[in-house]
Amino acid sequence: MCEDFGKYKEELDRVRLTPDSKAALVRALAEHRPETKKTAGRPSRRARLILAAAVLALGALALTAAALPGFWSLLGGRHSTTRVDGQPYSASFFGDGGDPPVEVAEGRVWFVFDGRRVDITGQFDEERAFIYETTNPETGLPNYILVGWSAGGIGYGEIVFLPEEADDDIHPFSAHTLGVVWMDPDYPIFDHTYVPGPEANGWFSNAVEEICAPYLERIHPSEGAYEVQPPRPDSDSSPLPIRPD
Amino acid sequence: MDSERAEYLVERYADLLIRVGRTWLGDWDDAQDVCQTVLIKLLEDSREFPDEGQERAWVVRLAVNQCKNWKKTAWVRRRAPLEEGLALAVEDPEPEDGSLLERVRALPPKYREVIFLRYYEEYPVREIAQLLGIPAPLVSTRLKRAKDKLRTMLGGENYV
Repeated sequence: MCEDFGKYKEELDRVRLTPDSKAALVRALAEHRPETKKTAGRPSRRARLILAAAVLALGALALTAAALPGFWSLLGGRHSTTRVDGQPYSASFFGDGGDPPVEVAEGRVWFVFDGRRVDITGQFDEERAFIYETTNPETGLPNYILVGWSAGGIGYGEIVFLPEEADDDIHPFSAHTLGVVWMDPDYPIFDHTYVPGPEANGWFSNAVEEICAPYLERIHPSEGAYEVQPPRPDSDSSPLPIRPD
Repeated sequence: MDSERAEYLVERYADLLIRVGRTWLGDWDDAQDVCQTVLIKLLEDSREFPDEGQERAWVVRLAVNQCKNWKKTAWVRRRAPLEEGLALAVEDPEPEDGSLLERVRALPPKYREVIFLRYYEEYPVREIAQLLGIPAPLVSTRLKRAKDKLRTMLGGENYV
């Protein structure tokens, strides 16, 4: 590392909480009581009421999000470009309303999406994703649903392409791991914003590279950069990457 | 809760969490909330690590994921994860004009993030890619562009 970034480290090391704040933080943490763990089975009446309220709130959230610029991913994410510190920045927001595109039943793994229910048992592992390719109806661009194996659970994710009007300076794809369906009933179920740890992401990273590579060489052959510019919706010059059956 | 454990976590990680939060979110209030939220998770998670390095890596990963979630759930975020009104004060020495920290803070978030992970936490590119969930070449590209922008800001001074 060069000397100048050593200065950056020195300067950042001087950013710290005051001693009084640390003492207050210790006191608050020491007094913190964890939330009671939920038990399985039929939810209580209070829980059902909260659930109903949450569903209503999510409905309102969906209406609010629908009014914002951008487009919906197929798994319920809202993608748009905002400005942060004056710079264009692609942002994604996830509600909690979508159903996982995968389920485990009868000892098999089923891809359940868009009216289909397909047995995908054995078609994915920690390094290789099952990939379902379709088109986002709002953008006309490719949209991929991925399923893989993540640290004891089945993970799923999605890759969407931002339309050109996103106006980001590197024109990125947007790829997210959206959730994990755990086969072990005692394992926690994470929400849609959970991102598995690095060791659990091989299938996802590999799928991103596989799907995006055809675009990359075409756009930046000299730099070898992983920057993606999707074909225009009306373009017929670049076929979409096709995954063999 | 165990006050010794709380003290250990605050002494060891509170400053780091504030720095991660400020780098990712660009806002002290959000950074404080992220700091408190991650500390609570650490307090409630009693897992043990073979060494301090692995524990720190786990904490960084938790903090980064929390920041990513924070962005995604900006409109439904829950404020004040600990006691209501617990406002923390941060010692943030005024950067000298033209300091590198000041310039890094002026970068777009995606560039601040890779600079932090590469040059503060000293992660290799591959681990940064895994942490951010993006391909390694994209990390390299962002690092290069970040350094290009810093070089431009500094009037051509070179960064390796």
